[in-house]
Amino acid sequence: MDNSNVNRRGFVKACSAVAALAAASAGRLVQPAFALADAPKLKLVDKAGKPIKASALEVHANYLFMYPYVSTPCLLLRLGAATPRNVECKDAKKAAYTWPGGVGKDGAVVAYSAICSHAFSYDSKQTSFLTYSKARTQVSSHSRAITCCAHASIFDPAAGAKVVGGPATFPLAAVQLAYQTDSDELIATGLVGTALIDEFFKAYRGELNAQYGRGAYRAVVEGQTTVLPMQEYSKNVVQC
Amino acid sequence: MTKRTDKTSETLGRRHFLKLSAGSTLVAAAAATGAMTTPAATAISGRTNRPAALPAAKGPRCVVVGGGASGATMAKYLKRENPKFDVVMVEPNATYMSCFLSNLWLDDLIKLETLQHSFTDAANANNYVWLQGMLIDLDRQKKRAFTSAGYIDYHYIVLAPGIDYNYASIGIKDPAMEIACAQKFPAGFKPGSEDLSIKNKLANFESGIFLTTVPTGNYRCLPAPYERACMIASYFKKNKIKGKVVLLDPGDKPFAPKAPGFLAAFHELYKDVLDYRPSTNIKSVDPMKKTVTTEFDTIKFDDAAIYPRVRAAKLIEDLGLSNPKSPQMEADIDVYKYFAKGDRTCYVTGDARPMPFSKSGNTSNSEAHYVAKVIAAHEAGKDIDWVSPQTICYSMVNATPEEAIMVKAKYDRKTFGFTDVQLDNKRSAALGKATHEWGAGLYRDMF
Repeated sequence: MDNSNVNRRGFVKACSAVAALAAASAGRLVQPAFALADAPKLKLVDKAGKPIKASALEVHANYLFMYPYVSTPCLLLRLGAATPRNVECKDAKKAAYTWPGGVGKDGAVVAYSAICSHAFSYDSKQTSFLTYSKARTQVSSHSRAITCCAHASIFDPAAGAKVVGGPATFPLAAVQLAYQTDSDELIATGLVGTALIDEFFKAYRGELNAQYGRGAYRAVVEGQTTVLPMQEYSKNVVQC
Repeated sequence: MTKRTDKTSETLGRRHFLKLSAGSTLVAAAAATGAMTTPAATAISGRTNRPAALPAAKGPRCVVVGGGASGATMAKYLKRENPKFDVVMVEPNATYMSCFLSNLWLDDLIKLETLQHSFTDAANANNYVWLQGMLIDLDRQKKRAFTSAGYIDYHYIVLAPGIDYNYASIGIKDPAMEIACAQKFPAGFKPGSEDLSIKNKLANFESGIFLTTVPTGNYRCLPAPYERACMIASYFKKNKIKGKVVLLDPGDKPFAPKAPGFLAAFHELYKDVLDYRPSTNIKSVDPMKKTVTTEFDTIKFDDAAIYPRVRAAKLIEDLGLSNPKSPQMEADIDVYKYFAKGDRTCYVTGDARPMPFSKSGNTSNSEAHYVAKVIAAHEAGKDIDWVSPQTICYSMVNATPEEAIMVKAKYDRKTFGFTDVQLDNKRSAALGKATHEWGAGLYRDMF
């Protein structure tokens, strides 16, 4: 119980900036069973360390940043249109939670953990398996969807990464984004949905140790996090 | 029920034993219960008639027989669906070895370690017990499973024993010839020693014809014989072997959805190395003379991997669970809920199922997720809707560079035919990368 209380408090604090306003106007807001405790608040910056401007993000392009750990990638997308707000999603245990919706001037900027909720395939620096595509692809019969090419799980980025096809049974975890209207800047403030990072670490411990140094993959990103276009982040981008 | 105490029964095989005791026990059981809903037990004595060395069950005990794509997934997800379940997986092999991805290993695209996994670690990570043993008999009235490591009393049992080969399907009826063919030219679809043998064959092959075959019926992994022919042909090319891969196929083209992708690879990549012969039925095989006789001619080969028709593992038949009308001796189960007719405690999954799903690792894995839910729901006094298994299947057709094709499909609720088919027959490096990750993801999910 202690943990869930902390989580809930963390969550409320984390997304109060974004969600509080919405809560006033929308009906029901359901807090997720999982929200990262002590979530770091990290400004999204470019390679030069300059804050990313939300309206400068290329529409329909795939961007990557690490959050909350140095080894856990997240997809950043600016979709073609404002997403619906306060979308009700269901986590792995079928518990409901509310995904607040896209941010930015156009309400179209979203971010999700790039670790597939099905079998933990992920976007590594070597190969990215989860990508967003505006166009309908050969394997995914959906346009404007995130597809994991390992087993063709398909997620809707405009609806909290709900599953729209394939073997996955629950959404990708969502990154809470705070948007600063005056500066057009983005801050990652939390991660909600289904907790997968422990299982992800368990599944890839050997690989992550080799890549980051023993245990170093568990370091939390500090200060700010760098956003890279997917082609720069990953040697191989697998779209299917 | 008769009780056997004579020493000789200990050394008898399961089938012989059943034959010996079936007459008396079946009649006795029928008389005792009035109605025959479950076949009666055979009497077991000697070493197996002692409880298996297991801790006392802490909840409803679920025995999973088999540690393949179906059984390993089942053991893990039964425990996840209902943490009170006390799960025991009975699997005789010391190490898991994967059938899926194994063609890639033939051409050195992956290491052997990629295919091998530890049952010890899987059981430990997922809170079940792995009992290294083999199911010998089942008393479904007493709900007692007799294994080579002792008996286990169960609440639920899931049988996922996989396949056996039917050598009569390629004209081999003499047991001596069957063993000769199985040992000299193993099929390589029951992973382990068969696959190692084929790998050794390739390493030692110098010149001539390497014969591979496609079985009739619903065999394990429909695109695999074509992928394997590509991988062996690629190996020949890479290693400048003066030889040809001959692929005999009873069908008029490769596995239908992927036919264009395979035919393109055969034609564009392996024209000089691969001799694909469609519409060719094997009438007989002479493993001593190294010949295969088809409707058309007799082919002399230098080495081979001969894949006969498959059937549900003989265990299913031995336990009285097969449907005598099934041409591949598959299990007689409820086709939506997987339980043996009239027995909600005994389930059959994986490649021994009677539904015409693709007998593939991915199908079995996704099916096991669903059946684990079925059993957990039944335990909770609930029922759940049928969910189609998913078949997602990559085939590596080129090794330099690595390029693959893919198909994914679900199954129709009524006909069990393919539905929601998505295809990519244009071989690509992206799908080549996805092939590796597809397998890796399955291992992560199973173990």
